[in-house]
Amino acid sequence: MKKLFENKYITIAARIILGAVFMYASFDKMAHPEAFANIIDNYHLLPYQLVNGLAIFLPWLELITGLLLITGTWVRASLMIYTALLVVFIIALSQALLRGLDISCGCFSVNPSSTSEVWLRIIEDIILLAVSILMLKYSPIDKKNLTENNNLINQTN
Amino acid sequence: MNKKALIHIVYILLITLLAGIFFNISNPNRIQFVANEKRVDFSASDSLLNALRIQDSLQKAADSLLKLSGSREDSLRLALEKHKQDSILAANKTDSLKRIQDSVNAANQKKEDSIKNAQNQVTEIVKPVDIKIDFAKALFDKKYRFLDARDAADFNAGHIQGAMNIPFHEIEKYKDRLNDLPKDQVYVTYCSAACDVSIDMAYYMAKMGFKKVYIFHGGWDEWKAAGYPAN
Repeated sequence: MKKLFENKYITIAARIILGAVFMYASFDKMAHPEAFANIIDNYHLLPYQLVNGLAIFLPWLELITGLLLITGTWVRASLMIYTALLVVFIIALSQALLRGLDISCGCFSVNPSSTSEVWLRIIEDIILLAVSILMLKYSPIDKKNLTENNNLINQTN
Repeated sequence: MNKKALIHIVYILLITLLAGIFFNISNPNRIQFVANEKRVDFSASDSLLNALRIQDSLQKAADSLLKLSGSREDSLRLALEKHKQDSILAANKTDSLKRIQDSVNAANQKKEDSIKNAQNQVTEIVKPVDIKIDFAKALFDKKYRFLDARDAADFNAGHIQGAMNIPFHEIEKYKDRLNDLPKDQVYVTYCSAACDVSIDMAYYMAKMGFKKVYIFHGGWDEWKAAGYPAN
């Protein structure tokens, strides 16, 4: 696994996939903040005072994090935020599943009629979380590390 | 954790904050930064609820009058058997029975009028009304339509007797069912207990033009626990 995530091309592909997922997830939420606020409220996790704020800022955090990952800017910081967000999402979805809340996920769409199995979303998020953690741990994501890595490759060749 | 990454995290959060604020201000669909408290206001002054309460009290009064008249009738029958010769007394008793019967009829008429009045007022209210199980049962007894907003699998596992299933998570698919319903009738939406789809559906219906929608907050769980009619 270490070897896999040390590969430059695998790292780039993983960054693009992770970034694209978050960017795609942010668009509908940004366009319909009220519907997204309702979905957050339905999770019964936050006091009502915080619901709208989260509905406004969370899609932007997803978009910016995704964009930075795709462009390869501030990758470590973006991955840290990405990992933290995924942990929060997994906790929120799991508690909803355990409490038997009959809610719409709000993961990629704010449309209440969008069919989304919560357990399926949890699995997706766990996979993304695993990739994100492995990248943080093994990938040469800092420029310094990247240069060192490239030098090592050149020396080997 | 390296210091540089932490500084970048702070930058990302600041950019997010600024972008969120500016976008929300310029967004035509903007929302308040701090939401107003969402209160469930169980109606104490709803017209139909009041009418049903009046009806209930009138029914009790009518029942007691009928009981009274029944006992009087019995005593009269005994009196007639024992004192057949006393025709004047019997006539008086018959008069009093007639008066009781008249008052029962008047009470029934009043009850019907209050229900009619309440039904006439139905068209004035658009905002869905939050109700508890007692009123939900009263509406059920009056044969108003219950709409189950849960998924089909939950509905098939058990539901309020006669309820129609319109899963709110698939509302686009089931929208035709709502369109087929007359908009000036009374409807009660419900889901399980820990859910919000009944509220979402009630407001969705209100937006569609339904005039009188009630949200039964206890939902299927409370109905089932109370042992009320179910399928």
